[in-house]
Amino acid sequence: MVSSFLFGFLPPGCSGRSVASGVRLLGAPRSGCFAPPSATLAIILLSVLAHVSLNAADRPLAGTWHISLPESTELSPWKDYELTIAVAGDSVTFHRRLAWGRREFRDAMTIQAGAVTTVPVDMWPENRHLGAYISAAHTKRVRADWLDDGRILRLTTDLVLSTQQGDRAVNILSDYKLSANGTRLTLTELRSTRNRPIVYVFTRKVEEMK
Amino acid sequence: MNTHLSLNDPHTPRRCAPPLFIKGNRGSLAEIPSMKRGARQGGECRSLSQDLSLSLNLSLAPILALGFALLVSPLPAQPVITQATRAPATATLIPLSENWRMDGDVPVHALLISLQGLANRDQPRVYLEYPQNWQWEIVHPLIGFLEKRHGMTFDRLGLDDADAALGRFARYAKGVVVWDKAVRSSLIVAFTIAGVEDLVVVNEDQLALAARHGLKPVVDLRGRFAGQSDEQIYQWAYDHYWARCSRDYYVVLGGHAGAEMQPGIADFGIRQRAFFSDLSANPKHPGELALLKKILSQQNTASIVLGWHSYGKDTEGQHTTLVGNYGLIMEGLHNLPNISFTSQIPLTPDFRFTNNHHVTPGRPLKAEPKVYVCAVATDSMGIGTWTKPGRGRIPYTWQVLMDWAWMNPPALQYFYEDKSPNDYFIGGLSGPGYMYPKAIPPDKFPGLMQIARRLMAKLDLRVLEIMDYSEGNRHVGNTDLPKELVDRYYEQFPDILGFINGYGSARTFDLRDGKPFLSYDYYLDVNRTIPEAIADLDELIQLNPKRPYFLLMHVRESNTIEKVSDILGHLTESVEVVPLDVFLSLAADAKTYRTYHRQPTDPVDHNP
Repeated sequence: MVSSFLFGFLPPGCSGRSVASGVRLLGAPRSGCFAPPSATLAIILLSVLAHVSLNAADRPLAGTWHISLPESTELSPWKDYELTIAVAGDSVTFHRRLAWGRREFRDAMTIQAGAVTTVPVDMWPENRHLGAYISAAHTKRVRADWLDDGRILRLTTDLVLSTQQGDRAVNILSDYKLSANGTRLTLTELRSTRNRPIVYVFTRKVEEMK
Repeated sequence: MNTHLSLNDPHTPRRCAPPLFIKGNRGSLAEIPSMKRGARQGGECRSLSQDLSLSLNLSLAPILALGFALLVSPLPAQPVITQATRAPATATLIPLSENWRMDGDVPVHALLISLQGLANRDQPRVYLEYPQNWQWEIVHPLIGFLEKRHGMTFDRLGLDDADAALGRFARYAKGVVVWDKAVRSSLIVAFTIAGVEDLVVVNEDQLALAARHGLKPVVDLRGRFAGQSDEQIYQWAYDHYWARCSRDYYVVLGGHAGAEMQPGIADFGIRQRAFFSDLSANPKHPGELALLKKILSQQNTASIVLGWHSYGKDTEGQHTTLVGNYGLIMEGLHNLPNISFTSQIPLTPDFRFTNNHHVTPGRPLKAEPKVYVCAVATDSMGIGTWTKPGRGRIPYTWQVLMDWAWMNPPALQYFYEDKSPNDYFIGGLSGPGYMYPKAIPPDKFPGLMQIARRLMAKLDLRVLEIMDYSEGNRHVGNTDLPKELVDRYYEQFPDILGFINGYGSARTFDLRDGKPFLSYDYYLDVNRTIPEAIADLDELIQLNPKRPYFLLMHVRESNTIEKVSDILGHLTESVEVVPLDVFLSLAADAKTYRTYHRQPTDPVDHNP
């Protein structure tokens, strides 16, 4: 809503994702996209007012995403996966809902971009069909980095899984990557212990697109 | 006291001397209901005087209680499971259609199933040929087995031919009970009434047909339950019929809900005069749950709950947990067919249960530094891949539902005789039937495990599989056993080769006196693609670097052995696939796994 309002003050050719994101608007704008002085003041004023919500809502990854099962790695033991990403400044919050009929698992984590965050872990739900469980420490360390002007969020996760033979350190690289038109989110996970990448494709929930 | 308990044991059908079939005991012991109650399971070969002499061994207090029971709660005589010395020469076979919709062929199927239950009361006369796509796929192979091994011949009627069936067997019924087409649960109540009153189940469209065969309405449920909840409907059934129902069998006729019903187990429930319902074990339905608890609490200890929870009301975990809370045994397949027939068919005289053992007790195997894999199929033999191509290709372990030793002897004989050298049998599930050990009151545990031990000995089984969904499932919570419960299993099964635990993966591991207690490290989902399953197993091998590594794998029923073989053949590290007795013997030799029991901090989820 704020973005649409702002577009009205911008010169032709200066609207679009990167401008609407507020990042360049408040940082270094592209050449040729400066607004006239009279409009600039209004833009700056509005931008200041909308600063918090812009940082949160304008991140294109933000929103609620629903898995597209045919395009994804087979999801068992789950049959449904809903992911909500919220951004507030450098803080990124993930809400996951994994479900199989009436059985469901929900968790949430908030991490800081550009830093390592220690996150509490109740359960390791990624593959419940493997005899591998979160270790007694019940934590994981996650580093998050925005790439490509906020189009990609890369997480590097270190955790310890407990198996029948003992504890095993595992590293996971997770790329949350937005499609060019902003309607699809692809999560690619590379686990240090797994030979194949895991790819989950999500589409933005319909109600958000209306 | 023990004598009395053994008489009540529903797990030991007696084989009688000729004549070929013994007439049903209805009436013969009716005047001494409590004695009959003790004798009705397997006591048919025992004379009443024998029963009385045994009873005299009881202490005075139980005798007084017995006398009191005679005065205040007379139970009618209830049918025994009678296995004759040999199968009948002939029986009637009635094919059933594939339509199991309430507005489709369920009415005619309900009629035929109820008629089967009555006609098979004192001897096996009717075998229903369920359709080819029936979940329990041994219906058809079993016909060939009975013809070949028992010399039986079947007189085949037409598809769903109720008219011909009534022509032959209406004489075993005293009339009909009419269910209400507008109230699904009225059909379930009608099954109860059919058993208690010896009535065929019909709806209003079938009244004329029944009348042609001399069967008139005795109980009419039309309109009786209009607008009522299931709680009210089953309360009415409880108030009117419960007192006359079996205390050894209760039928939860759930499974398919709504527009469909698959009451394959109903013939046996009717034969045994069981109470039927699909009452919910879900706390969201407090009224239904309260009535269900009331019913289960009055059943005999170690008695049988037949059928399956309603897919529309509660969960497998909730229902089986509740059943276990009362020390009862779940026989969980609502569409298990023809048990009123097969329970009366003996084993052939030349047969005894013989497993494919690969390990000699006292001579443990030596493990090598490699990955050992064992594939186990559970979920009841007969609903999986037994008849599919590929069996015998690799060592494969099959869980036997041990109560079939008396419920379904010909089916077990069929499996044992049909096994390949690569098929190995183990007992399950957690005890004599399907039960969750964490849910069983400790005082009822030894008695149940005593039954399990006896069945394992009879079936030549040396490994027990355990599963517990009372605190979780393969998605959430935990499926592990606390140390105290593991202690009890070791105590109850001193001669066992070992235990396995889980359904999905689990983490209870132990080793005592050369007897491993291992859990599944992998669950092969039906939908898991071969490339992903290969990646899963490769990952487990990566996560467990010590060798030997013991990878126990549960194969969901519908995965073919060809698929399993394909997966195992494409792992990056070569593995050795072994049967479970070899696997356990090797695991006893090299304990590369950590001892682990359920911890207080483990997640708990009560299957909402």
